[in-house]
Parts: sequence; C-alpha cells; structure tokens
Amino acid sequence: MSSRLFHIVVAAAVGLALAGPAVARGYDDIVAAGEIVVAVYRDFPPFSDRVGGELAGVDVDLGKAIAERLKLKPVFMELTAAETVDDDLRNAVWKGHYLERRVADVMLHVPVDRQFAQRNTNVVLAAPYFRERVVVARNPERVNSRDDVDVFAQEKVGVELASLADVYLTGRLAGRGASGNVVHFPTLAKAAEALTKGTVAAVMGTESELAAALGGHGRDFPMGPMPSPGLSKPWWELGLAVKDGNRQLGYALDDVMTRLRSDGTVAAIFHRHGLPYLPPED
Amino acid sequence: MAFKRNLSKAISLVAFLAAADVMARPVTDEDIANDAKATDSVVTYGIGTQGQRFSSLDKVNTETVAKLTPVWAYSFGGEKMRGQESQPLIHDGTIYVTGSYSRLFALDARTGQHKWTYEARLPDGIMPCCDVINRGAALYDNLVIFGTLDAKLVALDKETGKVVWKKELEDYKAGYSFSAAPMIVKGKVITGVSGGEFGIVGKVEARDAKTGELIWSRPTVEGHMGTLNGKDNGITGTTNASWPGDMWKTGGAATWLGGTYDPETNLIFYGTGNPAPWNSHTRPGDNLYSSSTLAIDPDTGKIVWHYQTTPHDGWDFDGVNELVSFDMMKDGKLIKAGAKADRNGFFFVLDRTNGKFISATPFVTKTTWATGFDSAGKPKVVPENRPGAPVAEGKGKSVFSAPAFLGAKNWMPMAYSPDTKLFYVPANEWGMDIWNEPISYKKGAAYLGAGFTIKPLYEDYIGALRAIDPTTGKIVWEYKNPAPLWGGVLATKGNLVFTGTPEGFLKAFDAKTGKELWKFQTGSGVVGVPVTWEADGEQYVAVASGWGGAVPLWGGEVAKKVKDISQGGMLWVFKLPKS
Repeated sequence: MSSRLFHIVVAAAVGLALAGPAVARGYDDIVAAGEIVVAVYRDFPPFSDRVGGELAGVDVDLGKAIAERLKLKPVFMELTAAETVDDDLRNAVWKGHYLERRVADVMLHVPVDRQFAQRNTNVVLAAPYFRERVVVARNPERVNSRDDVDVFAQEKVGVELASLADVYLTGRLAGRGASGNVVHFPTLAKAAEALTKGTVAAVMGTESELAAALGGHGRDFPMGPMPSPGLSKPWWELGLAVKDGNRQLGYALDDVMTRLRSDGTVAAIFHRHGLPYLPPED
Repeated sequence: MAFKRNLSKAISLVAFLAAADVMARPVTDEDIANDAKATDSVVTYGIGTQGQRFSSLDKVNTETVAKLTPVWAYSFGGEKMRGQESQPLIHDGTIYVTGSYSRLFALDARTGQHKWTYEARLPDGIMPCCDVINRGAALYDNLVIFGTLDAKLVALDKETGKVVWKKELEDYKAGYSFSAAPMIVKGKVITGVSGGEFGIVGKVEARDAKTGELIWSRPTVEGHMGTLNGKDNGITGTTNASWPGDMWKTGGAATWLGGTYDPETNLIFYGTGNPAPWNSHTRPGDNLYSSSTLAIDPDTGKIVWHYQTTPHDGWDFDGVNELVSFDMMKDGKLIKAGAKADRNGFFFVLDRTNGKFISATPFVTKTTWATGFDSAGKPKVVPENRPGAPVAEGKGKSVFSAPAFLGAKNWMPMAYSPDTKLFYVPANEWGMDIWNEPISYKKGAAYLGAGFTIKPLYEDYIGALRAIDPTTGKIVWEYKNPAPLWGGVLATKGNLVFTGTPEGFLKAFDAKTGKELWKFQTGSGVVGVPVTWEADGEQYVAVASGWGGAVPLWGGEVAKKVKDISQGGMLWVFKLPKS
C-alpha cells in the first residue's frame, strides 16, 4: 500500500497476465475515426482542470490546437496522477490502468529527458513545448533579489511536500540546523496562499504552478530563479508521449508542434492563462 | 362486504409471509463475542475478534481431508476479474462475500443460490494503489457493512442488499480508499483508512454500527487532535517529540489493514503504516506512531499503549499487520500475549495488557535492516543498509534490502492454533535493490526519487508457510511455494492448516508436521482467506479464488513467477461426501 511512497521504476513490467491489453490506434485509424484522444492530468491547474464543470487550461487549449491542425476532433481523457510519470505513461499511453483498460493516442505534459526516455522504452517522447523551472516567489520585505537559498536559514520557506524543492532545501538547511524553516504544504497553491498571508517569507516550486497560484498577487511577490548551489535539476522540458509503435503519429505531432511554436500559438496560450512562457532550448 | 373482508384477510396473509421472510436472525453482540467458538457461523473477519482464525470443527481432519470435495462454486461474473482477497462470512444459512471492484454477494450457503448483489458505483478518478481488492465485510444486527474503493462505508440490509446507511470515510479525490474488513466492537463499527497520497494522516474511527454516526476518531500521528462525540479528545502523543518541524502534519501511518479486538483486556489493536514521505533522511526521529501497533480503548478512542516495530522507517515497512491475542505459557507463567508477524521480517510477541516487549525473532531467512532486537524491544539497526538520502547528482549507491517493500508478510492474515500452540504465518522470501534515481518526475515535475527492483532470494521458492512456536520463535515446519504467498490462513481442531497459493490451489497441511494432505485446483490464483463452518452436521470449507493484489503490479524477476496465472473471480465451497 504505502509502497506507493516509493517511486517505482517500471522495470519491464510487461506480460503481467492481464486480459486484453489496450491496443493503441495507428495514425491511419485515428484519421479515419476523425478524433484524437488526448490524455491530460486531472485537477492540475493551470494546465488541465475543471472550471465550472468544463475542462480548461494550457494543456487543454494546446490539445485543441493540435487537433485543429490535424483536422481532428479532440477527445480528452483525464488522468489521475500516479506515483511517477513512468506510471502515468503506462496508464495513459501504452497499456491502460487496470481499472479501465483504455489508452489515449497522445499524452501531454511529459518530460522530454534522455535518461527518462531510456527507461520508458514503451513510449516515444516528442515535441517539447515549454521549459519548466524551479523558482522562488518571495516577500520582498523579507527576502531580497540578491539573496541565495541560504537566506532560509533565517526565513521560513514554503514547499510542496516531497517535491524537488522540499528535498533540496531540507537537505541544504539541515547542515545549518535550520531544516525546520521548510514549511510543508500538500500543494503549491496552499504554499502560495501562506505567502500572501505572511506565514512564510517565500515559496520555492515550479514556475507555472506558482505563477498560477499567486495570480493577481504576483505583482507583490517577485518570482524568479534563485542561486541554488547543488540543485540537480533547475529546469526541464515538457512535451508529448505516444506509444512506441506509433511513430507515424509522433512525426505528425512533431510537425504540428513546430508550427504551433513558430507561429506563436503556444506562447499565446500561456499568456492567455497569465503565465510566463519559456520555449524549449533547441 | 364479504369480498372486501376476504381481500383484507388475503392482504394480511401476504404481509405476514413477507414479514416472515425478513424476520431473519439479527447478528448480536453475543454472536460476535462467541464467534471463535460457534461452529455454525462466521460473523467476524478473523473468526473471532481476537483474530486467531481457529475453528473448533474437526470432522474434516488429517484422516478425512483427502476426500474433501467441491459442493458448489459461484462466479463473481462480469468482466471484473481482479484479485479476490475476501474472507467470506456465514450467518443464518447465507454467505456474504466481497469481490473485486467493491462488490458484495449474498449466496445461499448450502446451494450457492444467488440472493442479491450490491455493486458500488465507483467514480472516475479513483486510483487505488494496489489492485481493486476488498478484504471482507462485517455483520451486525440486520446489517452487512463493508468499505468501497472510493472510501465510503456502506451498510446494507443483509436480507435484501438495500442500502440502510452510507458514510464517507474520507475524500477519494485526495487519494483515500478503503479495502479492509470493518470490525464490530460493542455496537461500534471500527475502521481505518487506506491509500492516500502525500499529505495524509492515518486514523482509527468508531461509528455507531446501526446509524453510521461517528463516535470517535483517533489520528495515528503525534500532534493531531482526536475527537469523541464531536468534541476534542486529546492530542495523539506529544507534538514534535519524534518528528522534526511540521512533518507530523503529513506523517502518513495509514491504517489500511484493519484491527483486532481483545474482550479480555477491552483493547482494540490496530497497526499503522509507514511514515511519509518515504525519504527517511528528511524526518529524523522515531516518527511515532508510524509502523506501530496501537492499543486503543474502544469506549473513548484513547491510545492505551503502543509498540513501534520499525522506528524511523526507511524501507517501507508498514506496521499494519494484525496483532493476534493468545495465551502463552512461558517459564510456568500464563501470559496474556499478542503476536504480530511484521513486514520487517520479525515475529513479535508482546504482553497485550501493556504492550511490553517479550520477544522478536526473524521468520524469514534474511533481514538486512536490523540484526535483531534488544531486551528493551529496540531494533539493532544496520545503518549502512538504510537507503541513502537522495541528494547526490547521478545514480546513488544501490542498497540491497531484505525483506523487500512488499514485506516478509504482507496483508494476508496468519492463524493460531490453541491445540498445537503454533502460529501459521504466510511469509515471502524476497529483497530489493534500491538506489537514488538521478531524476524522477511526478505529474510533470522533477523530483528526487528512488528506483528499486524486487528480487526473489531463492531460485526455487518465494512463498513459505511457516509454523512458529511463539515461546521460542523457532520455526517448527515450513512449506515452500514457488510463487509468493498472498492468501490468508485457517487452522482447525482437525489438526489442519488451510491456505491458498497463486498457482491456484487451496491446500491443507498437517498442523503438527506441515505434511501436505490435500489440494484442489480452483482455476485461478488463491489470495483469499479460507473459512469453515458446520450446517446439518456437515463441515464446510470456503475460499475465494481470483488472482491479483499487489504482487502482479510490480515487474522484475518476481513477475516471471506469476505471469502465466489466469484472472478469476469465484467462490469455492467444499465438504466431505456423505459416505
């Protein structure tokens, strides 16, 4: 049960005696059906979330834009996040979750990372569309723009529990006997709320989620990368995943994404949602 | 007029017949208290709230068991063939058995004739961690009560299957679930919580069994406030005594397996899961009351004593396993003892009146995390075998750790025979390589995770049913099974021990020698819990068959041992042929 707290490497979890593995459709079948099934995370603002019952967000708009360019109707499959993205890929793309053996044609918001790709050989990762970063949003009266993370030996900093920022700051500040200054929240949104209320002096976490959570308060709490010695992954890129046998679809999506990026559609979607846009490094 | 009078007579006759039909026997507190002794019914998970899983029936015994034959079988049907981990209940001629996907079936115990089915309507977005199993129901009054994967507790009229009350145990959207069998103690239904992502805290709760109204709630992590009748009822433990900073607020210790109750001491014994988050380096301290057994007063919800089997867990050693009450003669003294076979590989014997440590002995061949326990009941931990802090760049040092995270014993309940004075423990011999992954992702965000692979320790077997003498910790006999054992155990006065195997067999062993005396191929893996009862002077045995649970969800070398097992969903009932 709580082995969910471990982070499973899906080491060849194949052939598990499960009836009727879901079969991903080929590109021709998708075109013939006239619709493309797009997996997005459930309850994941600002990327994919129900707003008044309607699915909305950056990834939803991007899914619609992709489908439009392919002259297909977008059908969204909401995905409950599992322990790791490795598990999500299995549930959404190449096998389906055992509750409901159903897969999508493409999943959004997947890290495009060489090491990550190497251990997920059942999928093809393609078409990165933005760069996510670890940033700090700060109360300028308590943390100034020249500070590095060691300022949190004196000031309280909010993080999402068990996030990269949590493990990084807890480890770093433990050396100064100040790991108690790391305040844990179940979500970044809750951490951002604590920042606006003055309970913490800063919040460290992913840029887009933090920007979305701060919303109108963003003006009062400057946000940006902070010198963080030893932080192993200050940024990463997010793109798409399709099933390994589905390279034809992967190529088509790559082409579409290149056009959506070059004509400014992707940036416009981010800006429309009040978010900064950092393109992938090409 | 005459016609009218006759009509009303006819109507009252129909009403009378209908009333007779529903005038079935309620399950009383006395039935529950006597369950370990009564032979015509099984009204509790554990065959008595002490959880010994011992039946005083002996018509099926070492002499006769070879002739044990199926009487009937019932298919749970549908396309929902997943792990069937249920223990059936038998009362008043009816079997109540739960199935995968939160289903409950009522069947005629003699014929297998279907009476009714309740199928929970599960919402989109539930994410149970370890298959869609359910472990069984509780009976009380005219109700049969069970929990669902969307963390609801449902009470059904046991004759009709209609919902009488339904309560939310927790918010499934926050990742909570429920799969254990509830327990009835003095008119209260006792439950824990399953699942839950980061941010959860375990708890044990008591509700009025007839109405579902909450009576008390006891969080399992220090610092959290308990309640009794809607009022504050004291904080669990002492805030920040064993947790740094605010980590206790999200400390885990889920109560996902269910408890036992000992009427002699009037204590509920409940096991708690591992602390969160998994990286133990971020939470120095014992992290109470994670990976512990709690003794709770059923009337007030106060913790009377606790014993922590894995302080400062870093290996995912849940402490949820059942504490079974038994009387132990040691050095000429009678001790009111309790025994627990823990995920961490040690078999614990405690004084159940006060939680005092008596002994801890390994019941698997390898325990890398600790060399043993000192006389105070503290583990002698091997520090270099603790998985490292995930901070370094690149793949960190790999540690081989045994038992693996699935535990030396997982959820599957053991049995105790007061005749042989032995415990029968379904154990597994496996370990894991665990290392720091240079980078992992969760919901699109980078973080520092661990990678691991689970490995069998031996070529020829993983599972081992072991008979353990609690006075010495010595293993008296063992049965080795190629695939991991994942089903519960039943002991009987017929000098028999029953358990199922993933290979599909229900097996019977000589309780004294471990000699295999009988087996039957059920068609799918058996991960259910066998029971026995008597009707019309004949002894029946039942077990649910249907492969699933946590084992097939993990890959690696263990998967190879189970990859050819077919799914299923069937209740099998056996008896001896009439000579």
